Amino acid sequence: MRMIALRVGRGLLVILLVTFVARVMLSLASGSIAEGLLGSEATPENVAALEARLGLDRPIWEQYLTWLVGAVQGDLGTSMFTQQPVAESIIARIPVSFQLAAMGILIAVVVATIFAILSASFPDSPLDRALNALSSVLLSAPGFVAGPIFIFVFAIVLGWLPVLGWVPLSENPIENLKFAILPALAIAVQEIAALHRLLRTDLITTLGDDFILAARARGMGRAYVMFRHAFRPSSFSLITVLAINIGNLLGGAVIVEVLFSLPGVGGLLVTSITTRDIPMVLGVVTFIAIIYVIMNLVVDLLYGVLDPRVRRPVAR
Amino acid sequence: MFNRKQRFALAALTAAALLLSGCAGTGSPAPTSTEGTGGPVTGPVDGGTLTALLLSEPRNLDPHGLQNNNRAQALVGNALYGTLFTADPDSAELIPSLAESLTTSDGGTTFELKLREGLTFTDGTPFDAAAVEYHWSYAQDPENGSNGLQDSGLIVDMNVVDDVTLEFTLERETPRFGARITLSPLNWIASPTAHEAGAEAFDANPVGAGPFVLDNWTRGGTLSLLRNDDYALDAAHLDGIDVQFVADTNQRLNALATGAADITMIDNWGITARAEEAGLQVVEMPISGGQLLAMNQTAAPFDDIRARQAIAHGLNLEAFNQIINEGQGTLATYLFSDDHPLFNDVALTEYDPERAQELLDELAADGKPLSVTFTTFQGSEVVGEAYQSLLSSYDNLTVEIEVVSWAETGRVLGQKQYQTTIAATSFQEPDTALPRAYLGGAPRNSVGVNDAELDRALIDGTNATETAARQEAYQRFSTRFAELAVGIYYQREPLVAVASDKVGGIQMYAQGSLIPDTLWLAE
Repeated sequence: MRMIALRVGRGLLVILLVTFVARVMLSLASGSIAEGLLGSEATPENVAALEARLGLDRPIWEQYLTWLVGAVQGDLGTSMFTQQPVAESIIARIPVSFQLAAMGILIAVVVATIFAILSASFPDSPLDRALNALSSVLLSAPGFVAGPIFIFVFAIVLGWLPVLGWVPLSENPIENLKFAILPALAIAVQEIAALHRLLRTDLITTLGDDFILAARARGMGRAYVMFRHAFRPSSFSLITVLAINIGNLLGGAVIVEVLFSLPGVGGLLVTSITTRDIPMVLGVVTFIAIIYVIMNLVVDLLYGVLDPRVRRPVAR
Repeated sequence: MFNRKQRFALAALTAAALLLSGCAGTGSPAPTSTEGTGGPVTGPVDGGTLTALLLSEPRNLDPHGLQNNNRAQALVGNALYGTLFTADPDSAELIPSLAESLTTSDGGTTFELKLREGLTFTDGTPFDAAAVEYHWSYAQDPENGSNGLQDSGLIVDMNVVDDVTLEFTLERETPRFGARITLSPLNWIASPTAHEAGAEAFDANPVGAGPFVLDNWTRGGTLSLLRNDDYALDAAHLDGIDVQFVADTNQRLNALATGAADITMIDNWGITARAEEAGLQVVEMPISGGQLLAMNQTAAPFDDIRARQAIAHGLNLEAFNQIINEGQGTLATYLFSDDHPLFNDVALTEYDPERAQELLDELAADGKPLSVTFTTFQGSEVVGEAYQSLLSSYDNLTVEIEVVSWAETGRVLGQKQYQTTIAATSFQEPDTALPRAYLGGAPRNSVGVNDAELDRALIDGTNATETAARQEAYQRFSTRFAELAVGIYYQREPLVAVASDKVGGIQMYAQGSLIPDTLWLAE
C-alpha cells in the first residue's frame, strides 16, 4: 500500500509538470485561437479584445492555476474552438483509441512472441537471421509508411478492406473489425520489431542460465522449458516496454488516426494544437499523462507478480 | 526554356517530392483500370444516401463560421440553410433560390431583396426579411468573427419593408453586390430564434430552411443529413448525405476509387489528373484569377518595386507548375480565363531572367541585396521549396523558407506578418474578389497595395454596367497590376468536384460551392 501511495504521489507530480510544460510551450507557439476564431479579417484590436475575454491576456502561471483549480475538481473546461466540454470530447474518443491500441498491441505481442521464441530456439540459424532481417524492415516502417502500404495492398489493389472511416464496435462488431484492422496493423508493425528483438535477446540470455541447463538435464522438453521456465524471467523488459508503448498508444496513435480519419484522441490532439485550443490541449495532455502513470503503476505491480523476490522487503 | 541550373534543380526537387510523397501521406493510389466516365447517362433518380468527403470539419454549424467555398464546408451550409441565390457557373449571373430577386434602381447603391412568399424554417418560425436583417447585422459585428464580415461591412443601412422585402444601402456603388452574397455566409439564413439559443443548442439543432436537416453529428466521425421534405423548392433527390472529414487528399481519392465514398472536393491539379486517370468523374468550376505568390508591400524588401519585379521576372512559372503540379496545373497568365466575357490579353507577369538579374544587381549596388523569407503553410511546403529552388540560380538573391500552421493565417495574411507567401484571389465575378484583395485599405488586402490608379480601375470596373466599360476598366487594372508587380499568379485555383460515375447532378456556384439539391445517385 505504501508503495502504491508513493507511486501515485509521484504520478501526480508528473502530471503537474507535464501539463505546466505543455501550457508554457503553447504560449511560445505563434498564432492564437483568437485569430483563428475571428478569421483573417480580424484587426489586432479585435484579436486583443477576444483574447482578453478568453483570459489569454493574463500571465501564464495565473491561467494555468485557474485551469488547475478546475481540473482538480473534475472540470477540464470548455473548448475554445468547438464550445464543447473538454472532458466530454475526450471521453467520446477514448473507445476508438483504446480499441486501436489494444488490437495493435495484441497483434504485436502475439507475433513478436512467436518470432522471439523461434529465434531464441534456433539462434543464429537461417530462420533466426531471416526473422532479424524482417524485424529490421518492420522497424524502419513507422505508421505513416506502413499505413499507406497496407491501404494500397489491402484496400486499393485487393479491395478487401475499407480505405478509411470508422464504425463503432457497439454499432456493428463485424464492420468495426473491418475498419479497425488496417490501422491496428499499421500500429503493430513497429511494435512487432521492437518487441521481437527485446524478447529474443532476453530469452537467449535466460536460456544460457544454469537453471535452464539443469531443467534440460532432468529431462524436461525444450518447449516445456521455454514456456514454463525461460519465458517468465525473460519478460521483464518486454513488460516495461509494453507499458510505455501502451501508454503512448492509448493517448492516441496520432499519425495513424489522422491517416485513416479515425475519431480518436490522437486526432483530437492534432486538431486542438493546430487551432491553439488551449483547454483541449491541456485536457488531452492530462489524459495521456494519467494513462502513463497508471501503466507504470501496473508494471510495478506486475513485477511483483512475475518475480516474488520483488515483493519481499530487502534484508538489512 | 530552362537553364542548366534550373534543370538540375527541377530534377532534384521532383525526385525529392516523389520520395517525400512516398514517405508521407498515402502516396499515389493505383489507378483502377476503368474507363473514364462522365457520370450516369440517365436520371435523375430519387433515393439513396450520398457519402461526401470534405477537407475539414467545421467547429460548429453556425452559418457565420462556415466558409462558402470549395475547400470548406459549403456543402453543409447549402444543405442546412439553402441559398438566397446561386450563380450560373459560366456567366456568374445571379440565379434566385430562396430569394426571388435582388434589384437596384440607382446603379448599385440601394438594393431591394425580395424573398419568396411563405417561407418558414424547420422550427416553424418565419423565414422573412427580418431574419435576413438579423443575420446580416450579426455578420457586421467584428466580435462575432463572421466570415461575412467584409461583405456585410459594405451595408450601411437596412430596412425591413415587409415580410418578404428588405431594402439596404451600400457605402459605395456595387452593382453586382449579389455576387458577394453568393461568396459568403450572407447566403445562408438560419432561424434567428434557434441561433440566439447559443452555439451548443444550435449545433444540436441547426435550424434552417434548406433541402436537408441534421440527423446526427459525431465529431470526428460522420455528419449525417436527411432530406427535408418540407423544403420550399423542389425536394432534393437524395434521401440523405453522410459527410465525413478527411484531411489527406490522396485518401479522399482512394476512398472514391474503392467505392467507399461518392464525391469529394479537390484543390490540387496533380490529384485531379490522377482522378481522371482513375476513371473518376471530374467536374471543374470555371474560374478566373487564381493562386498567387503575395509580396508584402508594407515592409522590406518588397516595399521596393524593383524587388517585386525581380521576382516576377525571375520565376519560371512553367517550371514552377512542373514541380508543384507535375505539370498538370492551369497557368494563370492572364487575369481572366479564356472564355470569360471580360478576358484581356495583358500578361500579369513575364519571365525574363536577364531583367531579373539586372534588378537584383541594381538592388545589391544600392546596398540592398535581396533576401527573402517565404512563409508557407503546413501541407504547402512544396510551393516554398519550388520557389527557393527556381530562384537559387540568381546572384544577389537568397531565399529562406518558414513553415507555419494554418492557425496563423490571421497573423500572416491579416496582420501582414510575412515577406512573401501563398494567397488566392479566384472569382467568377471580379467585382467582389478583386476589390476585396487589392483595394487600398481593404481588410483583406493582404499584399498592402495602395495605388490610386489601381483603385480607380477597380472602382470603375465595379461601377460599370456595360461589358465594354468593364472590360476596359479591368484591362487598366491588369496593366497596372503587372507594372506594380503586385503579385505573381502561378495557377488557376483548382475548384474541382471528383465523383464516382454513380453521381449525377453535380453543380457548383461562385467559388466551387457544391449544390446538394441537384445531386443524385444512379442505382
